[in-house]
Amino acid sequence: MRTHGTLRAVAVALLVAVLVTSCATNRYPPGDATLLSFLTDGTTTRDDAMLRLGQPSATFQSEHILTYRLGYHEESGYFVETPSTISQWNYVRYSLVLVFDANGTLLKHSLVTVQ
Amino acid sequence: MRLHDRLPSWRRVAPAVVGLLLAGCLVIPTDYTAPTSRHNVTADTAAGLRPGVTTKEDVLLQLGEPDVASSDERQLGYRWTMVRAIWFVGGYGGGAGGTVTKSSLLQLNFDAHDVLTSLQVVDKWGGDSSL
Repeated sequence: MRTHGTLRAVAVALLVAVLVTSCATNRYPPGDATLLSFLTDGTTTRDDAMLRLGQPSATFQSEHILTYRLGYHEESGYFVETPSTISQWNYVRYSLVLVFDANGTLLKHSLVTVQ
Repeated sequence: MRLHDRLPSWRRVAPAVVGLLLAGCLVIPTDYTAPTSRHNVTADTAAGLRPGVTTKEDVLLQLGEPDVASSDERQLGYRWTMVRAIWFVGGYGGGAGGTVTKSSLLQLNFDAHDVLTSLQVVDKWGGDSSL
């Protein structure tokens, strides 16, 4: 009888742990306040950008222009948000636009606040 | 057949009438951008774009990634959604609520040299998303 009580207590503890853990799970990647500090017009290359930020959310003019959707944690900084047709602009605070020249060097960039 | 024979029986109509009387309907006018929508484009945005002068690069740097683009990139679209009303209907034993939204699309057309040729704003009263 005591064993059953112990098992029940352990089961309840496990259930609570699972529920708490699932509730506390963060769907976002960790933020980085210095994520964009590598961007320098005239110096940064397209390869640099893609290695640091990953696949862009969209490209234009034969990849001369790349865009990224960025979220922002107040505590830790920027993170790259994967586009979703369902969530649209949910959790996206910025649209980062990178314009490269014919040699793949960053000409200009813009961090547009969308939300 | 006399007239009163063709009228519905009060016994059948009474519950419906009582239900309508008991039901409450509330519509609250609002004017805010839907949470899933982008917030940086409105109808006023079009005023800052000049056909024959503004380029696609200018647009992207100013407004960010568009919501839609044609495969040849000659058309870009920026969409936003405003919540214009919140409604509630309540009755005996239940109720429902939702929002009335209006979606708009700023449609931009470019020539082969990526220069803006024309633009227009298309409005559409959206559906009704439940709360």
